[in-house]
Amino acid sequence: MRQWWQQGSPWVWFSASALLVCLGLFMALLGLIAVKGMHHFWPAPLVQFQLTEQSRPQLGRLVRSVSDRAERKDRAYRLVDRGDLIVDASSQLPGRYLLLEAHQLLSDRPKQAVWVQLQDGRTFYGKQVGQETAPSDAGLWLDLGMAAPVLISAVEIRAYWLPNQLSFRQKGAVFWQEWRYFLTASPSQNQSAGGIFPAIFGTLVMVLLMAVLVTPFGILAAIYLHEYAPKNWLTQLIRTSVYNLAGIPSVVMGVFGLAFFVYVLGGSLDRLFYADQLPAPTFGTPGLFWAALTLALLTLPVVIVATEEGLSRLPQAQRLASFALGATQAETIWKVVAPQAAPAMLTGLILAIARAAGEVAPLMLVGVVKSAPQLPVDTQFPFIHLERKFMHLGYHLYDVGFQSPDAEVAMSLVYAIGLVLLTLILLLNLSAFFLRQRLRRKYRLID
Amino acid sequence: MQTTVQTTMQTKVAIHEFSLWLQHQQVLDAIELSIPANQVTALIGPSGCGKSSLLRAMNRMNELMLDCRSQGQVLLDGQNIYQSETDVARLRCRVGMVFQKPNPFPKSVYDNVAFGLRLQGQRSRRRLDEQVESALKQVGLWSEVKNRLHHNALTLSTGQQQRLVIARAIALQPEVLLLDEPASALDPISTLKVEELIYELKAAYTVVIVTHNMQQAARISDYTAFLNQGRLVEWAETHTIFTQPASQQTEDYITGRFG
Amino acid sequence: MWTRKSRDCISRVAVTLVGYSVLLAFALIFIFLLWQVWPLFQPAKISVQSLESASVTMVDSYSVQSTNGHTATHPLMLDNGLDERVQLQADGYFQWYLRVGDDWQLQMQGHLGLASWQAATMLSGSRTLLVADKNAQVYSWFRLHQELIVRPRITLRQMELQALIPVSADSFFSLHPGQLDWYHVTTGKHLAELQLPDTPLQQLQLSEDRQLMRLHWGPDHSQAYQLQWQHPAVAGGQLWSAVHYEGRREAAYVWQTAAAADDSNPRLSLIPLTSGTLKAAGYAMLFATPLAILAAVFTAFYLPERWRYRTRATMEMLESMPTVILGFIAAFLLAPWLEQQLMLFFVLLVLVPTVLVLCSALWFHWRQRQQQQAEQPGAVLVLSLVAGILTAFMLAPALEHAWFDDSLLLWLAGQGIDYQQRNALIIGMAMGLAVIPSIFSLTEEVVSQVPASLTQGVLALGASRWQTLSSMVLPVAAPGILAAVLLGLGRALGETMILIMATGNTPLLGFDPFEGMRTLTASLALEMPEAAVGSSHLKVLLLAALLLLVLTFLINTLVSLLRQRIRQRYLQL
Repeated sequence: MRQWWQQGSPWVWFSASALLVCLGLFMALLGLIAVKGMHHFWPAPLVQFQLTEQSRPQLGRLVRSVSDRAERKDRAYRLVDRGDLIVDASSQLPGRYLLLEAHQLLSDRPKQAVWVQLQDGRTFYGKQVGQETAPSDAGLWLDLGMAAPVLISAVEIRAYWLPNQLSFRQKGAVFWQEWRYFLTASPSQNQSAGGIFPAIFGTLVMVLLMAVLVTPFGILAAIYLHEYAPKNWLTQLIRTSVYNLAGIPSVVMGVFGLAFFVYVLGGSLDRLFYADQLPAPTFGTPGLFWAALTLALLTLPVVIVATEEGLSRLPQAQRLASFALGATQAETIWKVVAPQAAPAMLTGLILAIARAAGEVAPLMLVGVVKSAPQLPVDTQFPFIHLERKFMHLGYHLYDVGFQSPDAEVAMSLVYAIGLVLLTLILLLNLSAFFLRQRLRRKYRLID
Repeated sequence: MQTTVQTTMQTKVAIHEFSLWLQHQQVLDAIELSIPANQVTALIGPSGCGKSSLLRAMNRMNELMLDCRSQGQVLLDGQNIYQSETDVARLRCRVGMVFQKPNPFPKSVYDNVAFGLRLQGQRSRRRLDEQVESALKQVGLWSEVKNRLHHNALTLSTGQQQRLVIARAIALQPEVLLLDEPASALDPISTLKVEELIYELKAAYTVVIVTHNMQQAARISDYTAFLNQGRLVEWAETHTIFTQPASQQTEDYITGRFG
Repeated sequence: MWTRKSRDCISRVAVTLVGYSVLLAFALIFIFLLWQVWPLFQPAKISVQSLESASVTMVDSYSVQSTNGHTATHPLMLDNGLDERVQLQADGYFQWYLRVGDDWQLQMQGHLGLASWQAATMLSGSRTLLVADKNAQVYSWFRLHQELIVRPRITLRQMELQALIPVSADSFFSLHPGQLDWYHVTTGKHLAELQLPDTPLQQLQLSEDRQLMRLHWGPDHSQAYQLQWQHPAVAGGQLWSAVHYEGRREAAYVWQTAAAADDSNPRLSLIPLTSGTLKAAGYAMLFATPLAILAAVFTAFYLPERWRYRTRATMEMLESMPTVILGFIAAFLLAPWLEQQLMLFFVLLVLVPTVLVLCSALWFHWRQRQQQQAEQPGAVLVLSLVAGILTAFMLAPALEHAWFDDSLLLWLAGQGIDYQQRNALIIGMAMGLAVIPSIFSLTEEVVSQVPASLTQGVLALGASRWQTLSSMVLPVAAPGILAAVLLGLGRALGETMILIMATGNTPLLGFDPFEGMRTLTASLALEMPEAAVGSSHLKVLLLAALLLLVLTFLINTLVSLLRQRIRQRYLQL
């Protein structure tokens, strides 16, 4: 037994388990988001339920089983989504989501059950009246469990299918169609339906603008620090400080962005150039440009660190060779050093973009909104509207999750948004990772 | 103790009372040396004696190091290169340099050789082709690489890379060629080729070579200077140094008693 | 004609300029925040206003009796200018009225407990009654329903007191011959003083915004003064000390930005937010540190090279996981789950390590009996881990049934422990996950870079790998591991989204694991857009940002120093 302890056997087991637990938790997390995010678009079968023995059967989508630990355990509930409600005298029941007991669910799943979504984002589940498999020219007669069938006109319908009849492949087709719609449409129904195109677009525009701002400054600052600055303790101190700035909380940068860029700089700009529009602020309010500028400041150290790493990994012999051939310092930097460190700069830029795309806290302060009526880029002069507010994937996720009146709708939607965000960021990081690997291999070859 | 050699040769580079400090440490102490034109001069001495620094002093490469301070004169064709109005870039075109380890740019063979020419403003494709070809022919690399001119220079063997680097330097048609232990990173066969090359080069250029290899110095150089601890101990024709060294230190060094 | 030389020169100048501007921009962050926060600590000032601004009308004026305070008529009627009124007798008997409609209704009456008093007043726009006794002590009371609450006493100058004059809802003047003092009621702080001429003062007037004061010594002798006190909500030291605010029973640390109805000043104690930040970071580190360090040590020391590389790359990827996703998972998945399965959580916490220890001992014995080296088994380990987890799942309901009558939560409530769904345990796990990759990467780096000569030397002496690790590698790498922990701490202190989403955002004090908190970062993100430009609230938030900035900067600097040290140490070895 003593030997067992002395050889550290339990500690090895602990540390191995710690690794397994860490990786397991992360994998579970990623898997969960992937599965739930995908699930959002997979057509779910529709079930029939009866609120009371007397009432007419209605259709709904089974969300999940619920067991309330506070109550007795044998009473399991089913959470059922019965779609958006058309309010009339016969449906006075509150809420889109119902908790039903097992006996309220009917066993048969009618083949005629229709899932239909309107252009405005409302979703209905009903039984098709008649035998047609597609809506006629006039529209679709749906039995929504109310006194009389409802006519939904054909022009209003965005998508329509009979989930209980779909084969696996047909479901797959619907799945992809819904994904495409999700990525390209605007949100509707108070963010709870529709797509996330403005959020993706806003994220991309903001991040690109940030990249445009951060690239020259970051790269030139790194070149200054590494090639031009005198090599003494002061430079070393400044370098360490800049590196440390990479770790400051992003929200602090957001605070600075709001207090300085928006209030001070934006306020001055307004007084100077947009005085005619005051007191309505133009730049003196959070907007795209300030958000990009704030994130540029936030990610500047990332670019500087990566670029400097690239510069310092470049063998000194390359610089000497260039000087010995009669090159000036500028020629050495721009013709020999910079081209060879370019992949490092690109890595830094990608890392910066990945970080910026995932940041939410600073954006809450400097320009992101839950719903922007206009995209920041359009066909109107001057095409890029730097002062406009914009939507952002990460903030959209937060907003849908926390501000949405309907938590249940939000839940699965949020997983889908999370999946998109996560995919985007993992792709960016992966590309940066492989780029850096390639770069290291290349330098090893030169040296 | 210093020896002066009466020579009929024309002096290309004259070093006069030259001292150098790197990071507040004196590396060279009042060096007095003449490099004859169109001859190979070898700088020998134990490691850390300042021979590489002396070499770099001739095209002011030392200035790229930290904290460098110098005193005295280095005259190239009678002009002091340490004057403040000297165009350093121009100077380095006139005094080319090759380093210990081959350091081609990760570009094509052609671009490597054309690098210096392009800096000089040579844009004509035809002239560039000619000059690249002639430089590569001079170093005997043309036949080996003429079909791979646009391949990455890093794909060449180390020996080829070193000759490429020499070609890159002589493409600028320098007057003086400084070689800093050019063969130390090479295998014996490549070394032989580089040595032959150096021997041929002296027809067109003044060559200064730093080497720690006594046999090499004896084989290829016409003049040899022996440095120790930042001082020039002896400078003479090579066969004199190796047969009748004037100084005891030199004799100890070339017979391998220290260094 | 651009020569090569001039191009070189232009490049140098341009790059240097950009470099300077970037450095300046970074410095600007510090300078700007400091500059913004500075006025918070400006003391109050009374200065002579030379230019008479006739346009400012003085709304309140107080005439000063030239003789002793005793001549004041009794009973004295005091009011706060709004809806409260106090009638005070010479012996300290008082009657407190509240205006309801057009009537004054008596709310309470009684003795103040003072035998006699010199001067009294009610603060304008507040419910506080100030009474000065003969010993230059000023007592302040306010009415909370039917109760009189006393606040800390203020000691005045030992001079003859002519009058107490209310200035604002929480500050007053004490007027002495030749001397005017300005006090803050809430903190009892002496704000400023003013030397007056010896001529007896006849009248004192105040402007509506309380920025201007005019003193009259006679019909043609008057002087205007400016009262400067930009941030009364902060300047008395309310940021870091407990303050007895009007309307509360005792002194407390309060973060309350929306002004209460009876008090126009926000209550801005940074203590609740700071303690929230520390609590959140503390629980996260508690969760992350052991897991990350153990995992990193295992990766660096036991995993084969290929797997090590993969694990490291995976962790590097995970480091950039957007925290908004973690926050969402924490709030919507983890929090409800933990509320339901609290028992399971604790059982897991206890049982899994126990099962691991047991299995490891059994395995060791079995191998020894088989006369084999007790090598570390992959599959058996995974199996025992899974077994531990499964056992916990099966055992938890039974234990909960047996010990806590089927519900740990109800039992806790019975013990007076309040369980909030979004609590410190949730934060510990969610933010723990966010910082694990940071700690892991750096620890793994420093442990794996320990020179091989060192480990091989110890291994050659016949030590097991773990003995080598604990006796040689870990002590050598300790500064690096400390750096890793600090790096994680820096990240945890600055994390925002998880905290906004999963803490409940209530500014609570204390380190209760079942309660939520509100952190500095969450307050910054949620309150900054609403705080008015130039307000104390905004400036205090900027101060919080500056604190976070300086704190994380210092931590990161420490990390850099430690990393540098460990690099040197490795070079020496």
